[in-house]
Amino acid sequence: MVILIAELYVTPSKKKILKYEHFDSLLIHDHALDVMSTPPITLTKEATMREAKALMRDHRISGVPIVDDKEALVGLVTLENIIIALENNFIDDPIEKHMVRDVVYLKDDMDVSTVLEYLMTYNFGRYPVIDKNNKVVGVITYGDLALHILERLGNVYLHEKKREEILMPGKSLLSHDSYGNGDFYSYIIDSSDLDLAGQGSTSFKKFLQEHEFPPEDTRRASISLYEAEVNVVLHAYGKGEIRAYLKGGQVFMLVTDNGPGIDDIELAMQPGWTTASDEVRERGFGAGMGLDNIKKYSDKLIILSSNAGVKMEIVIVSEDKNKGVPT
Amino acid sequence: MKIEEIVKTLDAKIHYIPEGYDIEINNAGASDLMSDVLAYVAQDILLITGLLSPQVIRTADLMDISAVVFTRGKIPPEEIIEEAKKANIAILSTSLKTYSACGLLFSAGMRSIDGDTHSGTLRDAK
Repeated sequence: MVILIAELYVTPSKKKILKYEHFDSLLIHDHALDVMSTPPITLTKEATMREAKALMRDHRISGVPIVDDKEALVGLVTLENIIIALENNFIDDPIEKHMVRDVVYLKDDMDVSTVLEYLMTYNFGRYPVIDKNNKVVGVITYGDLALHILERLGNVYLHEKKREEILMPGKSLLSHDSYGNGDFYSYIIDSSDLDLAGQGSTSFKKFLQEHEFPPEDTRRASISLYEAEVNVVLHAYGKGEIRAYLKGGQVFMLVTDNGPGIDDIELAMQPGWTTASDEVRERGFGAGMGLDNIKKYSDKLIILSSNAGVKMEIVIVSEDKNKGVPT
Repeated sequence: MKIEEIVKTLDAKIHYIPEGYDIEINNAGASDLMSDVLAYVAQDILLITGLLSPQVIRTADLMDISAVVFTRGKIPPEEIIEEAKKANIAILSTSLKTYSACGLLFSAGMRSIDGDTHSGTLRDAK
């Protein structure tokens, strides 16, 4: 079972990954090289602290990797070094005398999950990236990583219109496919009327039966989808979309909405926890078992939530690999 | 238990029974919470519920539930019966409260979805 929980908030001034879990499954093919900013802004160790201060001000960065004449990493000057230099009046000294020497750096061929581990462990602002010859080839900040992940998820929340353009193609988060290929199913959830909740999932069950997907897997898929659909109806003003496709014995289901998002996904995953209204409870839902049921029935699950909506991808892997192959 | 036996036990009204419906239903679950029903591992069961909504039928459809009995005298409207027809699910209703309906069915031999028996439950309680 792979569960990925991510709450991503990107505003022009604040790029932040609030929570993560098992990003590695998603970013398995990516390396530091794909994430870093290039070209790196560096200085040689002979330059002065004053020059470092000017460079940091002009580029609005909080640290500068220091290199030797072969562009190999030898140190780092941080804002803190600059402040100390100003206070103690050695701002015109060469950098070599005051730089940080044991720098935490990344290698360009590190996979992204390792990069993320470094960022979570050290909590520095920026990390020089070096190649196998110790040459500085780029820099990675939290912002770089957040943007990369968002880009990967096709989930950059910008203007409404821009966002729609990005979300519409319906890229899978768990595979490199796009929704729309193979045996494809889609359904627009539009249930201001609670009576309609669940119709997308019952018709999807028929779709799977028509494609001779194994009965037990069909059951797991349609129950998971049902809970996800009901969630959209209950918590996202009833407006959303289901996209699904079958490939290589797996069914991929993507449920998106434009609701207010889930406040705390971890809490929402706990059995029995609910924010549902009385009206919803009268329908027999809102018992706080929805996400838990999805987790129970699915093989892979990704939930992305932001204040612009929830995107949930559920994958059911059939034991019978020959079923659900696109014809 | 055959559906006729269930009808007799609950003094139930028959709203719909699919054609050629000749199955044994030996396990049942009772809940008004559809998410709890969706968490059942069993199939081909009887669902006893005091909740009357189209979602009951959709839940039953997805869970491959064989029959639904609505308790407390709730009469399913035509649209619900139509959905049940499409999904091949037998629909009954009884004026009994959910608790009494469960009790009578249990005494008649119907077992829970996880198959626990009266004696088994007592043994567990000790």
